[in-house]
Amino acid sequence: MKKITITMAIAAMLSSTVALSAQQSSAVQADIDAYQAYFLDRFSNVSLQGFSKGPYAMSDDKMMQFEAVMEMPPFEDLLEKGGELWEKPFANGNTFSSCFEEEPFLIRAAYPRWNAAKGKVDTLEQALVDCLVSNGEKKWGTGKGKHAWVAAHLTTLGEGTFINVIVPEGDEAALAAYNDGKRFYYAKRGQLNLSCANCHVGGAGMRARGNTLSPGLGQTTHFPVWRGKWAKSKGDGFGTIQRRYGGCNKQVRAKPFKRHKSQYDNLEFFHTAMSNGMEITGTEYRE
Amino acid sequence: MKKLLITILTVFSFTVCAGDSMPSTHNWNDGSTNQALYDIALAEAKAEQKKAAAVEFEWRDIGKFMKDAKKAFDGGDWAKAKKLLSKAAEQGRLGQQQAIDQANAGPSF
Repeated sequence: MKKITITMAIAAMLSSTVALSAQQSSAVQADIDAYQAYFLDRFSNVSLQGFSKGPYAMSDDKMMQFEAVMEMPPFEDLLEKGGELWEKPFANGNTFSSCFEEEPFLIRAAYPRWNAAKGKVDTLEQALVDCLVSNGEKKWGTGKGKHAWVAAHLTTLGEGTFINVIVPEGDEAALAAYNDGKRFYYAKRGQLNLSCANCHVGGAGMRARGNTLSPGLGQTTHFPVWRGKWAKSKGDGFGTIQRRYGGCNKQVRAKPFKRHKSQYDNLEFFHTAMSNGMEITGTEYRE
Repeated sequence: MKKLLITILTVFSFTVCAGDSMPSTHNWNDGSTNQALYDIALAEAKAEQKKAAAVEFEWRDIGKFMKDAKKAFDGGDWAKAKKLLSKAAEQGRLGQQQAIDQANAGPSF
């Protein structure tokens, strides 16, 4: 019965996706097509979905290491805690699910999205914080810890659903937010004078010190991620995509922006749209 | 002509004397002068940092340079403080220039 329900829900989502896709801004769709074609052409041995594995898709050795880690993920207990927090009633008796219209497994793919009423991009991670506040709970710190665990729980529930960011055709404010994010992505910044695209488009697959630079395509299919690097430093290893944006900015010696403000929200809007049509893979390990 | 020459020489000698009197009455190395110069350099660095932040292209280490400059100044190393503040101001200016250069950034494929 559960399988039938899930199948029907996915079918409904896909049909709505088709309907919504018709409303995608033609300029945005042209960007998505060009972006994806660039990667598919340059890495002709990697399928569209294959890009969700980032640098591991570019090396058999790396992929073996990744698969070995994912056999017994070091973050399973935290993911479970995320699930428990999702279910745990607030003081008023509500739970997180009371703040979302979608079935839990459809929530990840529903974000980021344009909120026409507010004239801004809504992200899942901000929606979680808003949910706490609207239910009279204390705000959590963002980007890691409990915040990332709950978001990771939803990403994992969303495995198999499809990224489908829509910038509605004719909505100038939505297009402006998207273009802000796009400009951010391609603008060189910081003392190293590097853009997101320098490393993750032009530099994708190349080495930077001991690491392989991941392709920008597919990066949003598996966040929050559990990073070995983050586990070694502050925190428990989990981090949201906006935590990663801050880290990238610091690496090029630019001052990072605050999470869940327009700069990173718009960047996430653009960045996720570029992976439209790709499956959410669930939370994953990264170096 | 002789009178004019004498007048010029008198005025010149007064000027030189006035100039010479500065080192004997004013110590350029005392704390108050350095404090004033430090304040000016810090204000300039902060102003450039603010302008870079306003165009969303502030560089990472400007704040750190200013903190380090304060430490150096408090420790009596004015030369180091000056160098760091100058670096902070310069990075602020470069951030602003970067914002102008990257105003139309976009894909190249």
